[in-house]
Amino acid sequence: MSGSDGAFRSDTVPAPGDERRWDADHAVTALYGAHYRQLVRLAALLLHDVGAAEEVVQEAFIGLHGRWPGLRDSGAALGYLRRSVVNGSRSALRHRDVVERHAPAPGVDGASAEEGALAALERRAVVDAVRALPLRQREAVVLRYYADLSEEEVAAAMGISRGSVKTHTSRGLAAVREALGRAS
Amino acid sequence: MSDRSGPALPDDLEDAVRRALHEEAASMEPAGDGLARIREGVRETSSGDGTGAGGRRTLLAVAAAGVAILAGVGVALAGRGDDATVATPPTPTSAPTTAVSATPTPSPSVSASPTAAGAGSPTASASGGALPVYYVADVAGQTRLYREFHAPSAAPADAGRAALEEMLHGEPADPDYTSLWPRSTSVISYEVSDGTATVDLSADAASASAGPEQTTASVQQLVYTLTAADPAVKRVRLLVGGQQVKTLWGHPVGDQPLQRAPALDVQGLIWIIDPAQGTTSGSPVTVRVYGTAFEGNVVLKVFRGATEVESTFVTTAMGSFAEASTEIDLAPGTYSVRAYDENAEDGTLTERDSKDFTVR
Repeated sequence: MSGSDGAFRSDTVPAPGDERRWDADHAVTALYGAHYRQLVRLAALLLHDVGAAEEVVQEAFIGLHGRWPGLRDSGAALGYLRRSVVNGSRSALRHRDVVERHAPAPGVDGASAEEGALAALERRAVVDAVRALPLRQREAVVLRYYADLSEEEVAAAMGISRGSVKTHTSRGLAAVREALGRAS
Repeated sequence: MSDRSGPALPDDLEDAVRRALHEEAASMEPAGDGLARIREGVRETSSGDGTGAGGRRTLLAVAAAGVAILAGVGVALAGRGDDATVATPPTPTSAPTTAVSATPTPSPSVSASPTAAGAGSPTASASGGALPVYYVADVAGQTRLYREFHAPSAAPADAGRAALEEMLHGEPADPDYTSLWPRSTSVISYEVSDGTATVDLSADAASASAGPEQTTASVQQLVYTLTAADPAVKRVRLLVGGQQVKTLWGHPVGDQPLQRAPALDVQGLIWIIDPAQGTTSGSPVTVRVYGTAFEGNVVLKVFRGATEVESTFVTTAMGSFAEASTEIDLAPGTYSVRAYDENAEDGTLTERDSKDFTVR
């Protein structure tokens, strides 16, 4: 981390308008500050594991460091980070035990019931329903409604067409609706 | 569905989902050491590259440095370097000469990142002496170059000549690729002197008919093949029937001696390197591409017959070529994988390459 090791030398972030002059270290530092937490939460919603989510996002930033000279644009860099996070989450899920993936979420009932809050119950039910969606639908729903991305941005992040985003999103919502109906 | 849902169903499902996900997300707090870990990762990735820190390195230099670490060799990124990167040469005519990947990936998580902007490495010539042979293909209205690796039919002393013979008389493994050079063409003489290969082809070479773009591509096919097969070759002097040619198939060939045109102008924008056409492997299948695309984004779709069974993407490079790979889990069966780039304006996908393969 000191200048002498040559890999990551700067902690100072220039003004945002200067981004084309950022070197890779500047870019990673600035984008980390602006987006790290949200990207971790995004991955955590896909993976249901904050630790694994952090690893995926860190890998994305490491990848970005090498690619920054070809991007030199924070918007393009964010697009790259999102794609890497979605792709990295897919890989992580692929390598994760199938049994674990389908195990019920902890505290599905009981805990939230004791809070006595209908809102908390509803939130729990929605989150569980999203969690139970097939991967592509879950990605589409999380990117659309948590990350608040446009259909176009979701398409770019998932590497699919906008038409497919529409399909996955509407199927995902329909399945959530059905699951909530069943739960009541 | 909703008829029996009763009052528990939120009035506005989208709002409810949005609210629930935001609240759930807010409850998940990353540990505070993310930046330190990223820096550590960057240091591990870039240590020993000898290029020092600094933002003035070009993308290519960074990519090349990355490969230098991975392959343990430092190679400049010039000219034909890319021809050496490729792992498994398709060997349509002989037993496979197995080659290990020349671009090892340091960890599984890196597989989503570009690994190489085509740096050659000595280990790649370990691909059993396979010959790089370029073909042309009409893709999205343009004639572009695509490369295959072929096993040499004999054991010729000169790789350039062997690749030339293979280009003229061999068959591309991929049915989408072709060569417009007449098959009856023979090589009268082939000499390399001072970086220039002088190729004298029989008169039949001039007997094809093709459009100007196809002709240019075919001339570049010859130049790319020779310069790829023999690192000593930098330029090609093309003769037909003993005469240096100014035109071929009715179109100008360009200034002699001929040199490689810029890759962005002549190469296929995306090549699927692995799986090679017609190969069989276990699952997961490694799909490796070499290409350039808007924001580097290459979309990969796997089809079983007409049914799309998988869709993913890899990130190559924008404004230059880079290699990237991913792994796809597939049940046993016969598939085709297609690689697309995305129109920056409207998001439409254009297919750039495809390969048929089998999972056992």
